[in-house]
Amino acid sequence: MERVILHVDMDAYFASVEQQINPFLRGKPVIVCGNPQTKTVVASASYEAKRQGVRSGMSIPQALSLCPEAVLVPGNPICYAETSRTIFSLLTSFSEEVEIYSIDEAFLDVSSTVHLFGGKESLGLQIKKTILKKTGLSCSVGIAPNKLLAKIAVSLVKPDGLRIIEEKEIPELMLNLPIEEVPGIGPRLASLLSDWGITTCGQIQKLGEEFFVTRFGLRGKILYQAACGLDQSPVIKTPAQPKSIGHSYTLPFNTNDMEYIRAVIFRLSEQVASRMRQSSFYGRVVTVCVRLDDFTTFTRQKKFLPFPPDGHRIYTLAWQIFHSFSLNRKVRMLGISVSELSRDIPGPLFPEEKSRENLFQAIDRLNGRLGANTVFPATFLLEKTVQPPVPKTHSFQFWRFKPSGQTKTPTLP
Amino acid sequence: MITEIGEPVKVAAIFTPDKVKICWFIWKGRRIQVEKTTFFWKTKEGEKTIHHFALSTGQEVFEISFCPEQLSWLLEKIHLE
Repeated sequence: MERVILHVDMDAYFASVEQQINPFLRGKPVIVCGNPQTKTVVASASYEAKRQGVRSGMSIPQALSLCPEAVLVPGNPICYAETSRTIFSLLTSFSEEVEIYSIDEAFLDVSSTVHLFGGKESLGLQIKKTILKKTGLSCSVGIAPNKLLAKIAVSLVKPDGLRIIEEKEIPELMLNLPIEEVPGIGPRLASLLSDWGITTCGQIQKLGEEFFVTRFGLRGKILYQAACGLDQSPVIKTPAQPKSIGHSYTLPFNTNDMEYIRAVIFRLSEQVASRMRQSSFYGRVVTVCVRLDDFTTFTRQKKFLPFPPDGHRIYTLAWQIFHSFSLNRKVRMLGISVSELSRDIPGPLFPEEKSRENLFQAIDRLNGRLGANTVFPATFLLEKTVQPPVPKTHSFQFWRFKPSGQTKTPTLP
Repeated sequence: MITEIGEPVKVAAIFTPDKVKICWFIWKGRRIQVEKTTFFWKTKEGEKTIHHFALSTGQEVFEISFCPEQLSWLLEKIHLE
């Protein structure tokens, strides 16, 4: 049976959702971001904004310098996530083998179902039409013998496109394909290869697999195979056990205020712990990631004896690690993650540990019933209490989340 | 410009087997006729499912939400040009 893999990629997803919600934004350059009064970046840009050079990840001042007439819209991640759920649910009617790749992308293995929908082109068009009819959103579809080529196919025809790559087309396609078009070759690797005079997949093929294996090891082999359009990776229907659980937060302003940084680390630790509790995971490794205001990024991790999904415990371990950094600049972003997850750990041995476990289970049940953050550690309030004043740089009228008031200043443990 | 409101409203809606069509709603004594539902999504608040509607009058866009457990409608936001 011929292997047929389909890649669906929503077009300018967040911006398209906002343009769907508000018809007055249609046809206009739209930038979806966080609160523009803080240090936020472009989360998504409409094609009208992209045409003027705006890209995801760009700072807002830079984006506005390229596109001064852009409309800034605060992101609504819950809406996007729920809409994604709707879209992915629609895809299961075309194949049971659906892999959710990101919030706006999915792979389908339609090898055994493509004939039921009249062939590849017909299937691709039906998927586009179904998503458009249900949500009003357009997508691009790529169909190819493997995931890599299906994703490349999409990148060649975005937005609102459909491209099929047949087996016989692969050699010619890959020969002249720019290396930047290959998933997995990021800007840094592309720049390095460009320094060596390599700008197309054909040039990679000409140098041979051995050349890249010698220089990059296993990654070199994967790079070479990708340049040849080879990819054996399956469409993974059931999410595998996560290797790690983490949360990161770009601070609204660069800071070296240790009290504020501690409060953020505590919140991130509790967020990680909460997700670990959902799957009853214990962890062994804590990783702390710090990005400074010059975008230098440090990551450090440490292995401990297995620890329970307790935010306070994770915070204590993370704070230890954070102290090992020698920071001479302000902090821009913080990230905490826990890895070496396992369920095969005996439960708490000591009464106080058992008591804390019962407490968190009760909190999780309450939040599950009444809504997230119905009950939360009082220490979360500290993040707002010690937050330095935010410089007012824009006269925007909206603020999606109102800081809650507090009557007593909490202190960190 | 988006303005957060968060106020209860009275809504006239037609429920059909697969969708809800909102005809008009009353806010601050003003009856607001809905031209079109531009977007729909659901969220969860604990065990409750909240249904969200983006509504266009032709001049403004309103976001309202419906909680089936409480049978209550809330005007969440107004998008102004």
